[in-house]
Amino acid sequence: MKKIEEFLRKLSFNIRRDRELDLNRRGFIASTLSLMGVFFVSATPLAVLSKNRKEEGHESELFIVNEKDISVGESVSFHYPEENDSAILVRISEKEYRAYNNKCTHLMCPVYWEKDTGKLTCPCHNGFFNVEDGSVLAGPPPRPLPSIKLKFKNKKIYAVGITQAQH
Amino acid sequence: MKMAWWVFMSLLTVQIILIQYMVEEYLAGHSGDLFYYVLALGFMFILTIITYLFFRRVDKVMDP
Repeated sequence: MKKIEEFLRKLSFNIRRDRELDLNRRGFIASTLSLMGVFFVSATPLAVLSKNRKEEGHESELFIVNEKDISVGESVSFHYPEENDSAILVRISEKEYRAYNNKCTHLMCPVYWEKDTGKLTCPCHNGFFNVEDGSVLAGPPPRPLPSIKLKFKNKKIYAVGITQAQH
Repeated sequence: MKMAWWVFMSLLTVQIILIQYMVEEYLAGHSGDLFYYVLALGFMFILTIITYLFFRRVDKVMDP
């Protein structure tokens, strides 16, 4: 009878006072420390992945336009790197050209070159981009436009690469 | 050790927020920033180790 009673007691009072301090405050802080170590170590593969991804890039070379066919202050549309990625080339001075993917970084409306104000303008929600570096001047776009690298060969302009291609 | 508890909870919070931001940046494809997040996490980890050592020492002095 006594044994049964003890057994029932064990079942019903399952809080063991003597084991309660296995993970006290100190122990928990120490395990938190190791958790932070795990965070740090598990974050490193992401950085390695990002390095690899950067190297992939777009290496294709695409002829855009002859230098004589675009006058200062004018713009030309083209598609780079894929057929669905529309882009814009602007001649801002005699020797300076800028090219960007002209999908607005807000909601992907086409951005156009406004000659009078000297800004790249998104008509949908009044987003304005700086033509010098593609940075956002005003409006809702959260990020600058991806810029396209240019190459000049025999008075012809080629697109050879794109930076920050993914949205 | 009570103070250590709160300090550690705040440090842990910062790290969790950093991890979350980092994953968001990764999923958005802004891979250029990820390296800096790893640096920040490493810095936080070192900071945590220093804090831990400091509180261990305080602990020893307070109840020998």
